[in-house]
Amino acid sequence: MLNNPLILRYRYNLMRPRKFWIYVTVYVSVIILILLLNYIAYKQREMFTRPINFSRNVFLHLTVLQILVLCLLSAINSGSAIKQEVIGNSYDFFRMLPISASKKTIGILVGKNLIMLLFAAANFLLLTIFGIYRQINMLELMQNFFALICISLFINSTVLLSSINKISNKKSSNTAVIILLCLLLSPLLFRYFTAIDKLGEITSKFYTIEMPSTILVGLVMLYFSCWSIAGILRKFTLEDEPLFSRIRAFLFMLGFEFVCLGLFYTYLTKENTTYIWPVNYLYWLISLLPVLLVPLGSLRRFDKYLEHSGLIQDKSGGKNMMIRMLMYSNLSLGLGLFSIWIVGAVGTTLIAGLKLLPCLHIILVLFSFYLFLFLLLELKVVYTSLSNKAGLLLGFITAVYIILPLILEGILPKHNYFDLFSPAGFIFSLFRESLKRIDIRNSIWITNFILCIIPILLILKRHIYILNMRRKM
Amino acid sequence: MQILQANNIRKEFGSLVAINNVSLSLEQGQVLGLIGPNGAGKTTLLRILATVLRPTKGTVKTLGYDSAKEYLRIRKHIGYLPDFFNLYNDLTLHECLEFFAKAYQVDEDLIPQRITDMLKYVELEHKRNDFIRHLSRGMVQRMGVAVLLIQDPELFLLDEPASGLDPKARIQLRSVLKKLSNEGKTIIISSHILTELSGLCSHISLMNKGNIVMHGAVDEIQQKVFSTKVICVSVLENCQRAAQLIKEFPNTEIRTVEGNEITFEITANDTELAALNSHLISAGIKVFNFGEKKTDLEDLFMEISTEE
Repeated sequence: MLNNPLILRYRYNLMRPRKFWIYVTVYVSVIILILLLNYIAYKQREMFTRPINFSRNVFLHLTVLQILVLCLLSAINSGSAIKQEVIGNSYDFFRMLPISASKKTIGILVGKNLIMLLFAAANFLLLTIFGIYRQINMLELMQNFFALICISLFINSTVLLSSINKISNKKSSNTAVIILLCLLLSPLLFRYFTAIDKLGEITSKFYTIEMPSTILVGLVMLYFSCWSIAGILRKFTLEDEPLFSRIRAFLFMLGFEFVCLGLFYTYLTKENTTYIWPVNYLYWLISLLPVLLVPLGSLRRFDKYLEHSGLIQDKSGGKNMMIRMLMYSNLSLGLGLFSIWIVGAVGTTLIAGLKLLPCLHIILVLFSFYLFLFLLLELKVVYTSLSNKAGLLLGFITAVYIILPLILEGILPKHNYFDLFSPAGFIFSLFRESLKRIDIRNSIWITNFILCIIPILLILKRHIYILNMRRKM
Repeated sequence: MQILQANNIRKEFGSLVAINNVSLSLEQGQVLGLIGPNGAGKTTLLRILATVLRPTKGTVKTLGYDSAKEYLRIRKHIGYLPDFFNLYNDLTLHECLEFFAKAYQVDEDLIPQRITDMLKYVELEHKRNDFIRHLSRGMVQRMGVAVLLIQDPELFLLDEPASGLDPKARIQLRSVLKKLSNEGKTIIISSHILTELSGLCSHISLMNKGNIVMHGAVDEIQQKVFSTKVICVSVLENCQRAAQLIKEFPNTEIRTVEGNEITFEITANDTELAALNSHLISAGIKVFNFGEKKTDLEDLFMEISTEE
């Protein structure tokens, strides 16, 4: 692995004695500070009357440090690698390097984090020492390490993927991804710290298989890391292609549904039915995430449409070109993903033993929201080539679509169903049981479908333009 | 051996057509100069040839590989120097070349000697242990060439390599490129500074508004565009009379009469030119200079642009 030229390149830079010893000094100082402060507290305060309390706190603080090193600092490094190439005008050289995509991935993830990995290894050693002193079972300790490594791998690979998928000259665009990931994982980390004394005893179920929670978390993170890495490899190999091919997008969606259902299965099949419906809706909302996010990372751009229209012309000889173009467009991806989601949603409704018809009605409303928003996204794709501010206008329309009904709800208190016309309001209302009136639900989806007419016409107009242009080429 | 074959390439950026049905071929050992004003599509074309951009339409075959499908293979055999590039500022010249040598799978045993040779080639041996961030722009450009050389590519694609360089750096870079050209390397080099390509290229393609307006060997194009010769005559006195005599000679057209110098175009062979010279002398004109004015790429470019 050390023969990887990228690791060599980063090693040259990071391991220069002047730099290296500064990093080491900072790290050693932090460790000494942790030990010293805990020792003072141990000596001074009554709560640390037993030596085991001292090692317990050191273990906890070292774990925090390890999370900072493995999940935050390394993620910043991983996410900045490509950005630095772009900003430094060396990205073309990087792209032209004749090394495999996997070598590039390992080169960045390991090479950029050489120092962090060194500190993480030292930390693991200290954690083991204090863990043993704290009388933590070795197996439990290893499970903790496994979970930490998997979480770190997931965060690092996802941040790297996001930096490749949207290459820009802005320095800060990855910070948002890191913050988002940290927010998403913070409940998990909170639970981790609060239960650090009895981690080995906490178990979770995946479908019917019971296992330690740390193992389950690690496996789930590992699963999604594999997808992130597959995405990185794809972007390094097929630079111009969207992040997901159609098949990969559908496979990812199916996999997500499978994992999500596995985690929810126990709660959906509990005999106590009081909380079944909110659990069911929660499952719906979580499994909706990839339906929203996968298309964002997999959009086919306008120039791809142009390119593909040529292939269609050659293959079809000019027949059914519009249908073929629409099949190729992002719309088919959105509809495909939503169809898979519907299957999952209906499945959980049946598993939970809830009434199917009202749920189908809600699914129809959710679909109408999704369709309108997706059409706005597609409008951005096909009209950005005409004006690069098209996205701004469509973003504004989206914001109005989401926020205006909520404002109307506030200023028109007598008509307290306006918030249902916003996707955000509707989603919140799923947990408020305010959806009982069928006439309101019908008016929502009908309104949304009417709103969809103009975007559909505009999109069709643009597709006709593409096909006409292709004929003229 | 054919190195490159591009057929009907078109590239659109939204509503802008950057390249419009361009076809191009290149044999081994040819040095092709891509000339054109800013915005002509040179950089886009080079980026397509370098597999960094994909054409909206058309095919490119480099070394027999299809650039749409086998671009990773092509990249192993080409050296592309972008227009605004930088190398890794946090590395020394030696480290940088070692990194590229390893990435391009140069034999481990050969790497140290290869690095030394390349640094000598681009005259940067004395900077071996300096950081790249301490180099001048001209040195970075030459270092860029060294990075390409260490790969030993079969095709060089150089995009405006001399842009932004001072005259001295430009001369130094030019001498490096001249060496490459003399060694029989296959090169495509773009520039809007025409003198930069004079004497370097065996072929030129003139680009304008996304089209290749003219393509061929430099001599061919010169002959095609300048079917007439431009002669410059300097006389000691009676300049107007001399101009009159020249004007009366068949197939001539006076361009300028300035001071004691007459510039004119003539369609004639060497014997006829000698006859004209004798005619002037026998008419009592004291001619102290009679010679053909050589056309350079600048004239050629202006001529073609005017025709356009």
